[in-house]
Amino acid sequence: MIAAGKQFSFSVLVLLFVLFVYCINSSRKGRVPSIRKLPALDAIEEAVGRATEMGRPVHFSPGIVELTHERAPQTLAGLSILSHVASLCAKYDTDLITTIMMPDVYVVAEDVVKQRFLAEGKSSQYRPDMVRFIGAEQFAYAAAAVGIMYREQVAANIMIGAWYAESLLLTEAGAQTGGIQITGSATVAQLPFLVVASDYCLIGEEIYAASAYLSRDPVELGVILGQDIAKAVTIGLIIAGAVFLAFGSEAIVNLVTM
Amino acid sequence: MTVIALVMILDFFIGDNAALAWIGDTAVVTRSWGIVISAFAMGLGAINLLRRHSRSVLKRDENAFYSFLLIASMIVMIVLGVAFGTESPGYDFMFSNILSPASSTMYASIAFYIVTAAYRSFSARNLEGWLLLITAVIVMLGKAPIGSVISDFFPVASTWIESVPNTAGMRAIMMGAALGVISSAVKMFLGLDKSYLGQR
Repeated sequence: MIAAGKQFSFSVLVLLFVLFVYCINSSRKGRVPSIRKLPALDAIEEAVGRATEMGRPVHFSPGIVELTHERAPQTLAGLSILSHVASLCAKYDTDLITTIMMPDVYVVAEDVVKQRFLAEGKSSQYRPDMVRFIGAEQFAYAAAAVGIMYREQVAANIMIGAWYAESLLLTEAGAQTGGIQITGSATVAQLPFLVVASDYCLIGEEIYAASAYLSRDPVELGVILGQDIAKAVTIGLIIAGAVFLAFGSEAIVNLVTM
Repeated sequence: MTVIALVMILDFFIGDNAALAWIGDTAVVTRSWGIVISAFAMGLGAINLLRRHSRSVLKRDENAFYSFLLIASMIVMIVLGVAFGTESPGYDFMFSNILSPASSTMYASIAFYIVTAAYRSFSARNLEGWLLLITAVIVMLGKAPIGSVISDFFPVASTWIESVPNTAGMRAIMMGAALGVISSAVKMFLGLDKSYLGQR
């Protein structure tokens, strides 16, 4: 039934699902795992607070890929963090500018910001131009977002999502306005730019842990534990594969390509 | 959402099986829905743009001219595209002579941004700063023609840095991120995480 060459992947997916469900149940029963500090996420409140003190806006962008793209999980992670940022902005009466490149993300982002302002009891503070659709053209978006950052002198620039060549344009604009910059991505090719140009950077899987970290929900923390167990097993498999290959056996290679 | 997710997952894994062809058909229909929804979202995005920039024009604020330019360009491109098609000479002229050079200019400006970012980042204030600075100098000299004139060490070291420690680091991040994606998918699949929809 399962296509040749995908049997191992399917088995791993099923095993991961079982592992995550086990970790969730274990966490629900009270064995809540702890999570290491993520300074980038801790700095979000500081960044919004600083923008509030300065009376300047916060800029947020959830990346430049659409929700049907293979990198869409990064966009969803960005929207998750937007939810937290919008809550903080509503709480502190801080102006929020969310720039969006893809139309389907715009619709969701608008709803996220509106919902968080409503949940914080500040629906009257919400303005439709807090979420701005720019246009589905990469460098047109970059030019517009850079212009907005300069013109509106943003005090904090938060960019979490999937990025391409425009990442450095945006982070450099953020750096030149003198604001705190918090970035994050799992797009490996852009990470060096984000790391050097921003104050705090979420690297790879950290963006997916943000929701659990910010909510401290035991169920979500259970999933993070499952993820760490899976990572340890993967490292073990890589080491075993290298040792087996060194001794001339292709057993592990054959297993994973099944 | 869970049912749709299950169909899409099974569509990826299931091979040629006549009895399960309905899964592939459902996945195709679902993808078509995605395209239709995106098209509507584009319409909503265009309305957002028009609303914001027409307000700016009507108020005659300091950026009103740029807002007017944006609305005018948008209308011209929509009219040319809808009335004459995206292959028409008028549309092609606007695309090739305005949009494309403007995009290339933005892309080219990255080179200057790299220099300013490098100037700020390559300050050797601590061990990590020193490591970054030394690695960057070796890689830059390895890539530039002058590097091999100075010493054969630079091209060899540059290639080693890129193919061994750099690749190892990148693969580690990719594998961690892949597990992160699966864990996020499981949370959404089970309805445990709705924060990306603004819910807690």
